[in-house]
Amino acid sequence: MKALVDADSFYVSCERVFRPLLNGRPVVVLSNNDGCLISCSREAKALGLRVGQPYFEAAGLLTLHGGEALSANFSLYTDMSARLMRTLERFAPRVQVYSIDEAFLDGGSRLPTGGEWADWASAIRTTVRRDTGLPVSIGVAPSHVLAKLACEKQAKHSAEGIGILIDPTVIFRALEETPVEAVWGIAERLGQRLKRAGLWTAAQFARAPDPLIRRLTSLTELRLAWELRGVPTLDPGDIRAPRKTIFCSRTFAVPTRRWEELREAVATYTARAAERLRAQRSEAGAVRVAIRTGLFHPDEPFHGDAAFVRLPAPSAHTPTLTAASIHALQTIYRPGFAYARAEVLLAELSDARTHPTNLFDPEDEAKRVRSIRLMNAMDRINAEYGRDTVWTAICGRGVLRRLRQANRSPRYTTCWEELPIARAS
Amino acid sequence: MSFSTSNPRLTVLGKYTAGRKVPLPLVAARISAGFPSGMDDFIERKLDLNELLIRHEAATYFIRVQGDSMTGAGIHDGDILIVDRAEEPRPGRIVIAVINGELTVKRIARRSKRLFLQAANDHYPEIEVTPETPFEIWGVVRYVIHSLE
Repeated sequence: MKALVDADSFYVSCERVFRPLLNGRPVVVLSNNDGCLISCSREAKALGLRVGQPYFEAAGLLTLHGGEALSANFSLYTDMSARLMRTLERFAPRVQVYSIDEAFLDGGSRLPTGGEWADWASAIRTTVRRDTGLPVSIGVAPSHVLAKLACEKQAKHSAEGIGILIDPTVIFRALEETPVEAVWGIAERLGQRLKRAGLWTAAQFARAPDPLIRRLTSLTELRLAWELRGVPTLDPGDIRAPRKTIFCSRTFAVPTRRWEELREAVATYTARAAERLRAQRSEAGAVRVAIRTGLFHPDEPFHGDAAFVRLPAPSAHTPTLTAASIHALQTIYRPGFAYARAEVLLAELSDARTHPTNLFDPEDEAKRVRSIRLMNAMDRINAEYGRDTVWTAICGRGVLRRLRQANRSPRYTTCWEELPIARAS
Repeated sequence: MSFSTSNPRLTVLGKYTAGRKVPLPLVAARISAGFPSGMDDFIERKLDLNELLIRHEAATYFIRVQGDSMTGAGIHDGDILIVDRAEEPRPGRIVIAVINGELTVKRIARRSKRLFLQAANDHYPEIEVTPETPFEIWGVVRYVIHSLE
């Protein structure tokens, strides 16, 4: 059985853990430079506010309803994300981090009935809430795509925050109510093609004969149909849906103590993540790097740490992203430990096609256009001749400038000077 | 080593710095039983304050104290509390409670089936918790970090 755990209004919820006064009010979190909404509380959504909306449209409505707009505080969010994932690891042997606020759990097949799976999900939800303060929704189903559906269509709309799609008749009913383009991984254009072929609902798509699906789509979408039939055939990482964050990590076959090896690993994961970033035509505004030693070697000292670096401007340029991730690695690496795992997360993703042109610095703009062409060429060569035919040599430190963030909350969990305050008065 | 929340005489082992482990080298004394192999019986390892002070890493937060209502419990203005959200908030324990949307430090007390949130300073009244009281236990305080400088 697979479970998708998805934190509700993740960024807003992180803020609320340390400022309970924000509970029950419309609260939004703004993107880099306070440009647009990247997270809305339930109350903000009820006012009609949506993620992606520019802030100036929302400002008046928020003030009118006693709401608040906060600048993004990614050092807080990434730390809370790590706490969330760490907590989930207690409930399943395998946790796949899908994004900053979502993870798939492989629950195995140890529980016989749907009711027991509901109890399992409920225990996860209660523990996460208690340990981290974060509310989550959980979908449980035999495949990843169904778990996603269970989470979005059922859990998010139920008071318990839990959706179970295990019983075949319940699954079928849910699929009948889902338009085909709402299936996770089916892009809008493909959805239109499927509809022209008469496949309007997820149920019709799932029941269509394989040769028909194959004729209309690629192999990935055929696997999607199998997922909808309850057969796990896809790894969450292979599903083509635009991501809010891109995550690339590995546990090393052999732990390493050497800075050069660790640096190379982080540079490689950054390059992989950057490839995926460009494939979905996004740019990243920030990079997070985490490393840790092995978990199961009692005789080896444990060290684990993470650092977050914000880029001066959103970028999909491998050398820029690598410079940032190596800079982050430098701040957390400590010699003498046998590192067993490294993670790279690209966050604050935005649409590369809406990147504001820099009118005031034509030279800079020309450089940017050239670097995009270079990256595209690199991706094409690597796609044609195999991964890592062309790569970038590791370069020096990135330049980190301060950005406009008018209403950022304190870095409650990552900075001694900004700890939350408890009153004793 | 006393590092308790109720005893104001704390034994400070070392200064805890930004989010990092502070390894303090320890050379253990020669042991007579075990592995008799010459130089190898000097076991060297590092002491890690996290190991001593943190039980549930993902659920532990550091919180700074503002005010003097808990001085009787050895908690002073400016101290840092090590707060564990995964810990059970039983009567007698010092907790972070959310009252009127603010984080506050209090001790939970139970007297004749009634529940109270107490200060540890006579100048502050205790608050009785009834089903109508809008409050929530945020986490349980396990240790206080108090600077003597």
